[in-house]
Amino acid sequence: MVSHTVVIRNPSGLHARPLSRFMKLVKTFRSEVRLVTPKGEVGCRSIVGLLGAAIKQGTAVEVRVEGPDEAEALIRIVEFLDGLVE
Amino acid sequence: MQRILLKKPASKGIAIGEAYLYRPGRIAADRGLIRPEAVTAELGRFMEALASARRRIVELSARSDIFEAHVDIADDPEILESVTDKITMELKNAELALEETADAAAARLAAAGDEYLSERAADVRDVCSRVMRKLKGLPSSGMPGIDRPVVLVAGSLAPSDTAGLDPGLVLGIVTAEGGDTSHVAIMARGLGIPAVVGVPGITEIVPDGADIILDAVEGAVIIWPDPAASELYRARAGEFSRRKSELAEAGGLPAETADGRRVKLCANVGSIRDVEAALPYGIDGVGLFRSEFLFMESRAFPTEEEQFAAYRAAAQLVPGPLVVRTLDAGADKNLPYYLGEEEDNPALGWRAIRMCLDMPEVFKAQIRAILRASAYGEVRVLFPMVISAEELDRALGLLADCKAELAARGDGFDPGIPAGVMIETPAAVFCADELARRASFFSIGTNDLAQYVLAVDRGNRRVAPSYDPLHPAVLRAVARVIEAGHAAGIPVAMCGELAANEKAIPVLLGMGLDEFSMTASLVPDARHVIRGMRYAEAIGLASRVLGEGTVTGVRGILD
Repeated sequence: MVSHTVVIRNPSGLHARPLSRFMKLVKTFRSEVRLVTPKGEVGCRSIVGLLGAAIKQGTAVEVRVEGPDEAEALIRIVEFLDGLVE
Repeated sequence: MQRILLKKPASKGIAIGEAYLYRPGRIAADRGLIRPEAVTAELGRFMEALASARRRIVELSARSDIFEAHVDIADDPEILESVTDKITMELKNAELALEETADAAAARLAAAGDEYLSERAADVRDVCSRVMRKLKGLPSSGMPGIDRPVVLVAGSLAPSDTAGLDPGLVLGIVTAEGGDTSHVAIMARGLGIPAVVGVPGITEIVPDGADIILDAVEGAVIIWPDPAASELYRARAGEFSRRKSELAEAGGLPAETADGRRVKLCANVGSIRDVEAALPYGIDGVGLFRSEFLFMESRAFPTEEEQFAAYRAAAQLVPGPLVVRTLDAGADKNLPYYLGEEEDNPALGWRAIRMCLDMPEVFKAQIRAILRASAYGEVRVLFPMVISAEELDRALGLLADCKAELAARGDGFDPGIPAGVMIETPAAVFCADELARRASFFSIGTNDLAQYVLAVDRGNRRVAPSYDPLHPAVLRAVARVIEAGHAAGIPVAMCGELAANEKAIPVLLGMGLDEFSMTASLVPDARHVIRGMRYAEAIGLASRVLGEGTVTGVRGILD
């Protein structure tokens, strides 16, 4: 398992539109991806779960990736979250 | 008579008619347990209802972004897992399993106590009730068929309610819930229905069947109006719709200046529905058919046949030329079924013609579909994001290959189909003369062009104030492109937002722009500006503006 913490910079946080893009990115990897947020740990395949985590601007999120392509997945996911500014 | 002041209207207008009170009841689940041997059948019943509801949501998502999030909800594995568990482990029937799952999911979102998430909880409920209706064999919306003109008064209206509304019978809308950006407000504006949303308790105040006046100009509702009020509002409503239709009626008139310079006014569209909506504005054609929407709403690359059907339908509807832009995906427009690599700099990345030239089979299927549609109307093809003559040559080479393939198959097409280039990169501006020798027309895409010329991302809050399409650099680029096009004898169109900017239109007209393409609803105002100008004056104005070297100078002349 590899992990890295990012702070969400997007002014509107992780709402439905960026989450849609985020989920599509996660689906391109074979590894299991989970986010640890102040509200608890969520998987990344469920829009309801991710929305419910209510990740706002300034929230620190730990990305945990486990699986065959975990290294690449972690880099790409962290890049996505880090660069997300709408 | 009772007059209630509401609040700022979400969609302006005046509606006079009978109040129709809509209180959607919750659909009661037939709460029931099933026998263990019925589990497989029950799962099948649920999956079928889900798939059928999902198909309808995907259809609707072509019309409105609202439903895109609904697709994600329908695809949510946690919802599916929870329903499946309840059926297989707890032996609950599909209705009960779904109801419990939807309640739990909606409660989870609503618990965050955040307005945005509460709206999403409403989305979850809407998707689940759609599936529930399929399970129970009910029609897809709870909205009963309205058979006479009414003013709709409701607690809340879900997307699935409004999608089924006949706009011809809904004179006005008042809801207790929702804000200015809620689904119902957006739809009402889109359909031109007067609406005031977010008036708590309105369903308790207005009696069902009462005569009411909805004044969605001032923001008031009048219940059981007296004759004087009725008369006053009839006059106001008449005046409001007269003013609105005056602009639309000018649709029959050509976009011609007082001294006889005639230009074309066209619409930018993304779907057949947009084409239909554009026709009443008296457009000269479609200057930009964004084919990417066809690709984005699909589950896979749409086939040649699927695309042909869409382009043909559009070609048959449009009175003049139909310009189909080939796939402009990448950057901010991702195809759900085809993910490129996440790029550091997508605006400068693998997108539009670059992507298409790398996938010749996908590109050729689209070109063949466009060619085949050209047998049914005046169809033109437009290549986006071109930066060099070489790229254009490759695209034109593929176009020639496709013509040969269709000829061999015996399919009809227009052998002289005009092929144009979208001018939206600085490279295309500087090589416009070279491109003009190869292309049949230019179309300037000012949104991307301004972004690339100014190196400003207008989606970035910090730098967005520097994004100004009236910057002298952008205006000079536009003038240069028009000049290069005309020197080579080809027409030059513009399909970016600048083409609808009332301050910019006289300048563009004076520069010699031949065609202005924009969102259809902006066409009447543009026509009004053009018909009120003299071409000679516009030419003078353009040369004064082009002589200005600063944004302030340009603004000083135009503001």
